[in-house]
Formats: sequence, structure tokens, C-alpha cells
Amino acid sequence: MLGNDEPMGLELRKAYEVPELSDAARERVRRGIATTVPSRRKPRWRLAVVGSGMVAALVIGAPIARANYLGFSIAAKLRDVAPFTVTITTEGSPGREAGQGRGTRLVATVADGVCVVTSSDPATDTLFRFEPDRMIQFSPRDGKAVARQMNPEWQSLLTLPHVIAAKIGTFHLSKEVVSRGKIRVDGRELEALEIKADGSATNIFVDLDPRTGKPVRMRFRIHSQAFMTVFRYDWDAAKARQTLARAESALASAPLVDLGKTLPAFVQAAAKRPLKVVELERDRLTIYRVERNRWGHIFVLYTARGYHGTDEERQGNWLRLEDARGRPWLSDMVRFNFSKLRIDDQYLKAQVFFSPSGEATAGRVKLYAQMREWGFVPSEVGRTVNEKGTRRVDFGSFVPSRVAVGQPDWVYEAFNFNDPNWLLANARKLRFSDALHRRDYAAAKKVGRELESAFPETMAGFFYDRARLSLGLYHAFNGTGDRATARKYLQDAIRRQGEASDGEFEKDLSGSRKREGL
Amino acid sequence: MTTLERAEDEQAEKETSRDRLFETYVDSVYRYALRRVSVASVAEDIAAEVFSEVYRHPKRVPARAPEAWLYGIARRKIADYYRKANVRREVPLSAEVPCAKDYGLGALIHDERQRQLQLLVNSLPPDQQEALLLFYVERLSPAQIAIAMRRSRFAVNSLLQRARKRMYELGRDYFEEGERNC
Repeated sequence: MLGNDEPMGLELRKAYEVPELSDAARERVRRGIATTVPSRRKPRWRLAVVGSGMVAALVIGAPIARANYLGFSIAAKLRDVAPFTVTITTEGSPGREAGQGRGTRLVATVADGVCVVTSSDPATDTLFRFEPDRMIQFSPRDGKAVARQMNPEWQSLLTLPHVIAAKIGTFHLSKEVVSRGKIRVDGRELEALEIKADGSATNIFVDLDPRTGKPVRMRFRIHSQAFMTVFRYDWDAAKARQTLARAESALASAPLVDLGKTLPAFVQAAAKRPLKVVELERDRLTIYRVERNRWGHIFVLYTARGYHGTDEERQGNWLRLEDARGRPWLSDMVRFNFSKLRIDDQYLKAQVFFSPSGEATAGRVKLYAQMREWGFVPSEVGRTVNEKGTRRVDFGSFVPSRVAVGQPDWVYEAFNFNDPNWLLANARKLRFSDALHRRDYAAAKKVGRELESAFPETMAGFFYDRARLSLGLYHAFNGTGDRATARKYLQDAIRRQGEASDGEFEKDLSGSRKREGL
Repeated sequence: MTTLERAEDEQAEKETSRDRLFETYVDSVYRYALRRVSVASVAEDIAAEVFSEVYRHPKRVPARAPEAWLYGIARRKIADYYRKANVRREVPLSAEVPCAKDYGLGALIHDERQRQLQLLVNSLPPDQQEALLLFYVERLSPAQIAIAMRRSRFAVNSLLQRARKRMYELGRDYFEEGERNC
């Protein structure tokens, strides 16, 4: 064997020469911060000092393990600056994509006045248990401790007295406490709550009694595939909640921007580089504003004049955010299909909703449901075929039917994450959708009826959409023998479409009838 | 020394050794990744993931030949990257700026001889490419390559021999021209 200094080696080294790692990049690598990756997960973060003694960190688009690592790294690096509460907010999927539905398990345990919240990371299938002086890693299957390890940075944090409030997310909504019992860890019996997932992404807040350390309440919050973990090292539960509220509030401010202007500073800070809105269809689209909610979701409100394009042209209807170097900031955009919008003298007003974590599916469903409630009627629902050949349905375009043009505020007034009714409605819709996808027709019917009784006015459109998406509703009711009801809803949906319908729906329906032998 | 102090010392020592490992090898791991993926940001990400493994599993870091171990992880992360990229075809809106444009590698790319050499390498089977580049470009020894590629040392030697032989066969003109220029 020749040495690697032979001529071929010299030539190859020259041919494969690449630049050194810059200092900034080295720091990013050290902290585990990747600014851009072509996958859907692009971790970004920002920090805010919230009041005295509190630092909030927002990590977006990172797998849980990495974001936790990053969050704790940040915390450890800042611990000399201020004794703080760490708020680690991670938006992103823990190693899975929306709709895969594998679910996440959560186990919250309480023992000896120490709140222990453990979450399983699907990637490693490992539970972590935090105690004042150590972290225990144990098997979620039998509760047996399999390893003990403590990141030094974590250790420095966990030496504080107690963890009393915890939020853990990235669940699917219908995760409910499915079992409550005891598990054994280190020979000790701990109270455990097991929560399983099968619906939309949710945050579950576990409120703990400061005296007993036991969970007294669990609250749910829906948003798209977000993950939030908050550890408060304090005995005062009320104070902890206030602190969390302050952190969320500090992370939530979102000024408005106009087209062509750079995004707000806080968004830029999140991306760690300047961003601008790139409008691909400049002559057709007008962006009113870009806003970000407290969970980091970006909302783009834009209008488009009547657009008649070919399929190929339609592919270009993307809104794109880029940094100053032309790199895409958010790779997962919701595409809107304008091809059959025939309203030359009106504007199409739509809100593009997408989550920075790239988990757009839940967002799409949520947006659609919301737009239905706002009174928008889909003029047509486009569909595209992705590269794998699976049919994927976009929302299509929306014609303002109730809301007058020129009142952009409606979007933000109507969109209320804090409204329990709204949350409940969307939760049910998402559960309904998921049930259909799972072909669990009994569940679909049950949730559908709940929806019907709770929100009768919105159901026709919703059913229209769902039926159009996969004809799953039809199958659902067909599957349970309740065809009359299915027909009623479908006919009602068609009637509601009125002139706006282009006939495709009926065509599909008749096709399905043939297929179903009806 | 109390137990707590001893634990703190041990912790500090571990931290120092991890930092040392990072400082020593981050450049080479990054450049290795960059050569394979051609996109600086992705290479950064892969390097970060490699070192996050070090932090997550400090006990797995071998005392001897950590470099080869790191290359092995990087190699698998790169494979993961390509595998996932295939699944998620619809994700990117537009191609990221490749490192060639980013960092002036365009000059290299446009250099005919080097392009020719890269094409030659690309014509080799993947394992031979890997072994060849790890040996000549990353300057790992066959023993280190064996660790990184999870092959025996003999298998690596064999891969290298075959790769070199094929390179000389396919690129006879290239190498003869090189000798004439020398």
C-alpha cells in the first residue's frame, strides 16, 4: 500500500478542497444550532429576558432531544447572568412527521414532593426523569431504570430545589389519560399518568399542587406540532405560572410588516439572519402583512387577483421567505391554487398558515376549519399529486363571502387560540379527520356527531371538505350504514357551494357512487 | 476531598475532554461532511449532530482512535441525510446555495482537470469512493477507515487497491497528462 502522499493523493486533495469552518459556524456547530438544513427541521432560536431572573428561550424546528440540549446549553451559559427560570419552547416534531400518528407517550410521576415529568422521545424511546440532583433514564416499557446519566449543564440546573410546573407537548389532541397507576422506579413506587396520542398536536400543561407535588390539573392547548417544556425551579406554583405567562407573552410580540419590507426583528432574530418576503407572483399577489403568533406560527395575509394559470404555472404559486443570501427560511409552505378562480374584479383573500416546524398538515386542517367558520366558501378545492404518487389535497382558494374586502383585521380578531370553544371545535375536527385517515369509521361518526351538535352551521362545509379530500366521510357513514345522513350532508354541502362550485365535486361524488355500487 | 468535589472534578474533566475532542476534530468532520453533501449548512448540521452524539453518549467515545469513530458517525449521518432527502422531495422550495458558489469552489469546479478527477472518483462504486477519499483526502489510515466503515482492515486494503487500480485504468489519460506536466 502506498502512502497517501502519492500523486493521486495530492490531486484528490486539491480537487476536494473545501473551506475551513468559520468561527460563527463553529459556534453554531458547538451549540447544535443549524441555521439551515433542507429538511423540514431547521432549528432556530431566540432568547428573551423576561422580568427579573428569568430567561426565556424559544427553539423552533428542532427535534426534541436536540432542542432540549440546546435549551439547556443556553440556560447553562446564561446561569451566571441571572438566576432564572428556564422556559424551553421547542417547536418541531420529535423525529416524525405530522400524520404518521405513531404517537408519543408521556408519563408524569410524582414522588416525595418532587415533581418528575418524563417524556418519551420516539427516536430513542427513552424516558427521562428529573430529580433535584440527577436524571434517570429508564425504559418506558417496564419502568425499570436502565441508565443514569446527567449532562453537566442539566445538573447545574437541577440542583435547584424542586421542579414544580411542567409543560410537555407535541402530543396529539385526543391524547387522554388512558391509564393511571403506579410504576416502579429504583424500587420506589411512583404515581404515573399515561397519555396516548391520536389527534392534533397539543400542549398538555400539568399543574401541580405545590404542597403535595401532585398533578392537580391538566390543560390542553392545541397548535401545530409544538413542543414546550418548562421547568420551574421554585416551590411557588402561582408564581411559576405567572412567570410562564410572562415568558409566553415576551415571546409573542409580533409587529406587522408590509410587503417588501423585512420581517420583524424578532423573526429575524429567530432565524439568526435577516429575512425578507419574496413574492414570486409579484403582479398577482399582494401581501398585506406577515404575523407570527406566540407559538411561532407565521401567518401571511395576502390577496391575489383572478389568476388563470396552467398546472405548471400553478406550481409557482408559492410564497417564499428567504434570508439575505437567498436561502429559503421556511421550506414548508402552503400552496394555494388559483387556477380556477374566476373573479376578475375581486380579490382573493387568503391566509397562509404554516408552522415553522414544517408540520403543515394540522395547520391546514385547522386553517380550513377556521376559514369555514369565518364564512369563507371554497370556490374549488384543488388537489395535487406529490412525487410519491399519493394524492394530496390543498385547500384551494377561498372567496370572501361574508367578510368585506379591505378589512384585514378580521383574520386576527377571529383567530383565537384562547377561546375554549374554538379549541374544542378544532380538536374535534382534527380527531374526526384523523379517524377518517385511520379508517376508524365508528370513531369518525362519533366525533362527527359531536361536531354536528356543537357547530351545526359549519358542518356542511366541513363535511364537504372532508368528503372531497378522501371521500372518507362517505365511507365513514357508509361503513356504519348511515347513508341517509351522509347523503344529507353531502347534498347540503353541494347546495351551499351554489354557483361557486365548478362541478368537480358532483363529478367525484357520482364517480364514487359508481365505485361504491350505489 | 468530599464526594461532591470529586464528582465535580470528574465532571469538569469529562467536559474538558469533550471540548478538546470538539476543538480537535470539528474542522475535519465538517470538511468531510461538506465534501460529501456540498452544502455548507447541511455540513454544519451534520457536524453538529456528530458532536451532539459525543455529548449524549460520552461513554461511547473510544479512548483510542476517536477520529475514526467520529468519521464513522458522520458517515452514517450523511447516509441518513441522503436517505431522508429522497423521501422528502417536495420539501425544498429552491435549492440551497451550494458551497461551490458560497465559498469560491466554483473555481475548482470549473477547473477541467479537477472536474475530470471528481468524475473519475464518482465512477467508482460507493464503497471504493468512500475508502479512497477517506484515505487520500481525509488522510485516515486503513485501520481508521476500517473503524469508520465498519469493515475489516483487510477489506479496506482491498477496497483501496481496487479503487486505485480502477482510477488508473479509467483515468489513464488524466494521469499520463499529469506526469507530462510534471
